[in-house]
Amino acid sequence: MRKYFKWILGAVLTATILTGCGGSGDADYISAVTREEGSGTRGAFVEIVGVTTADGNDNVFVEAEVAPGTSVMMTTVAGNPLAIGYASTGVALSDNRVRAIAIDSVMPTVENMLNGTYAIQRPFLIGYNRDNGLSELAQDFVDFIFSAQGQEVVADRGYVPFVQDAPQYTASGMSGVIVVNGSSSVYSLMQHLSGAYRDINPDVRIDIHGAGTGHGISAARDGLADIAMSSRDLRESELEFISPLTIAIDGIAVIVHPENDIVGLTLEQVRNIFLGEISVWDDIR
Amino acid sequence: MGRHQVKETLAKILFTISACVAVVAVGLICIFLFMQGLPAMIDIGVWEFLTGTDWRPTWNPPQFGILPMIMGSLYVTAGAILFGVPIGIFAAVFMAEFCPRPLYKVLKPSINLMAGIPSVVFGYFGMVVLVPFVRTHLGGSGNSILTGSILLGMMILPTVITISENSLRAVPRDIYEGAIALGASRERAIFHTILPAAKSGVMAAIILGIGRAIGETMAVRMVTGNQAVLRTPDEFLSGVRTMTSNIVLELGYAYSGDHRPALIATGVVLFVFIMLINTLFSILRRKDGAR
Repeated sequence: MRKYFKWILGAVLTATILTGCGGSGDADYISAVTREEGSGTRGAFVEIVGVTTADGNDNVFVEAEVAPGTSVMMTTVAGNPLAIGYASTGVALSDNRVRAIAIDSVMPTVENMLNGTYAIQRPFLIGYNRDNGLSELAQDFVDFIFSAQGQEVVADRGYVPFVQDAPQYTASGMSGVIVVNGSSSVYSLMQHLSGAYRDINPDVRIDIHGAGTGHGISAARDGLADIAMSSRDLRESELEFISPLTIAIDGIAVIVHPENDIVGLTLEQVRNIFLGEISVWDDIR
Repeated sequence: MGRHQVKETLAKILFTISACVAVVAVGLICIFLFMQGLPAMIDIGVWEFLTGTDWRPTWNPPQFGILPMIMGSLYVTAGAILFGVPIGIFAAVFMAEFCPRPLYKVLKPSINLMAGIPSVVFGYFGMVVLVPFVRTHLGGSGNSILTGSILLGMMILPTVITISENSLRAVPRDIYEGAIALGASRERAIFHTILPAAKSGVMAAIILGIGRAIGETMAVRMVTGNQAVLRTPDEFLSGVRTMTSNIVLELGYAYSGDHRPALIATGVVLFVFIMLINTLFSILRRKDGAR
């Protein structure tokens, strides 16, 4: 028995020493961090940046780390000086643990998204079941979102309002429950919209779940949610059963660790990083 | 029928039902898993599914190969055993035989407390402590097989220690006294008589540890990087995706085509693995009992 333990201990020690020596002196490899398959942020990022195969399939290279959820993405990039990732601008710009970089020399600010110069931007959508339509109550909430008050909430949260010169909303005095489910990126905006709506119509309860774009869409299809939230354009297969409405524009910021001294990248460089064709920081500094 | 008999029958029925609940639950899970998972596996092709190295569920046409995930689960589990089992067994020997009473009063509750820590807390600890540690001292990005192994090794410690300690304490004291009487030192008596006598209990501890490690999801997916890439054992500083992470990462999104059934089929494979481990366990046990 003792002999075996000696062997195991010996093996563990040797392995530790060997790797300890081998680990130092490497080049600064880029740790690309991506979101999980099916995430709306990933779908939009891949599509806009062009991280695809010739026939349009998601081609984020397999060695990229997969961060499940926006918060894990932020923590992962914040903890690794060699990491590069991406996240919604609304989140990325307000979190000083990471730094957003310029793309084609344009910073991801609200002005640059409004004038369309920032390349990586996407719509925030809500959708509802095409066959059943919206309930009277859900329609009232949607009217609020597209009103002057609703679009003001959108602008306050750092997103770009989609509707200009929106009409004023007046209280409907309705009551009941609205179920909203979908993208975790739209989730926080939806909470603020719901809060502002309930200040006017306190008898309405709005249950919001941020289970992911795909999940929200299937929930709206199956009648489990009144409204689905999506952080990307809907696919053709989804448009068969969901009617979409754009509520805001959001940018996707490319983020790095604050200690990383890179100022900006071109869209082409970002694409090649996530395709795995650029793997060392020195190649793009 | 007397009152006594009525009570007896009622108790019998109650206990039978209780026993059946567990069996029915396992049966239902089995039926559900296989009903939803097997057709997908056959549709994809059982061989392609089990030995395919590409996992591209959103592609057109999609590719569902889970070999990287099977190997991923095996790597982190093996790593967890490597870290957790020696420490766990030594700790159990220490607690059962050498530990001074005042220290035991602190150790025992801390281990029980450790068993109760939710896996997401372990995961967060791994993310903010272990990942940067591995990155700065060993290289790579820190989200790796090694990090997952260390974290899982820690998570199986309470299981391994508690069960091993109990089985060490259950060994009849005369064996130990006999060894001492024959002139063995205290350490020799413990390692050569008590530990071998408690072998089946220690084995049970290890098997339960393996079960916990292979089924762990939350903590693992936070520290292993989740790349669906087939690794070789020498790439232990690279990331890997386990079967459990694969299911939980994508289940919320999977609603088109074979994606969801393929994830459930991953669950079937995991289930088969756990059944194999349990069978192995009972075979080992039977052998042990026969001797």
